Amino acid sequence: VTDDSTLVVADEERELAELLEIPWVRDRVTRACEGSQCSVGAAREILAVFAEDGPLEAAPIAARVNRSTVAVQSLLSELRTDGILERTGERTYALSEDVRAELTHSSAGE
Amino acid sequence: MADALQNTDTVQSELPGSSDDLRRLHEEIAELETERDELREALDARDDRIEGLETELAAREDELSTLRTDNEQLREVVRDLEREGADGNGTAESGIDDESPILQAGGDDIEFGYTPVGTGAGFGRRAGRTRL
Repeated sequence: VTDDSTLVVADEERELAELLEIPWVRDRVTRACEGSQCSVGAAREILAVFAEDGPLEAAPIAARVNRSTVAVQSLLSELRTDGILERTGERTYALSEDVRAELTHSSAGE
Repeated sequence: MADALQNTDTVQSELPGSSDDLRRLHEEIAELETERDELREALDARDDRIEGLETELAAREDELSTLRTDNEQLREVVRDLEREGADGNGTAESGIDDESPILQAGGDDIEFGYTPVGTGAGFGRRAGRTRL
């Protein structure tokens, strides 16, 4: 049984999967994970939260993905250094303009 | 930044050869823009670092608070055992090593990363620094 909300979630998951298949995104996410305390799987969950909810601080993200704030903060820092995220304010991060453009491109290409 | 450089190049190519001062000004602007972008990046990196340290500090403070609570509970257990020993046979022998570093650590002088082992009072973690 599927309803509209199920379809939207499936659509977002597909877009995120496509995003992570883009070589420059995949390489930078992998590099960020290597420099942080999070796995690629955790990074994927965290990016999904950003794609769904927009700008967020480390603590609420950590609660969403059930990992320590310290670990999540370390990943956010690395992802920002690698241009996957950008700072939008004190303690707040969001998907970078380049990543948002890729997501938009992915949606528009359907 | 790339746009800025491109604009500078475009403007420069339109300048007459005698406008050296103007050309230099555009070059200077491009350099300043580069420097500004580098400073912004450095600032962001520092903010990341500060927030990372603050987050880690908060986690360590939580850990320390938990250790203090555990330690106090353990002291209470020891006091109870000593009272029972005194009531039962007239001695204060509790069977617990009073020289234990856990008991000696007290509430205020626990070092970060100190992890008591095997006391059976909520301490089940491995020795060494606790993973966060």
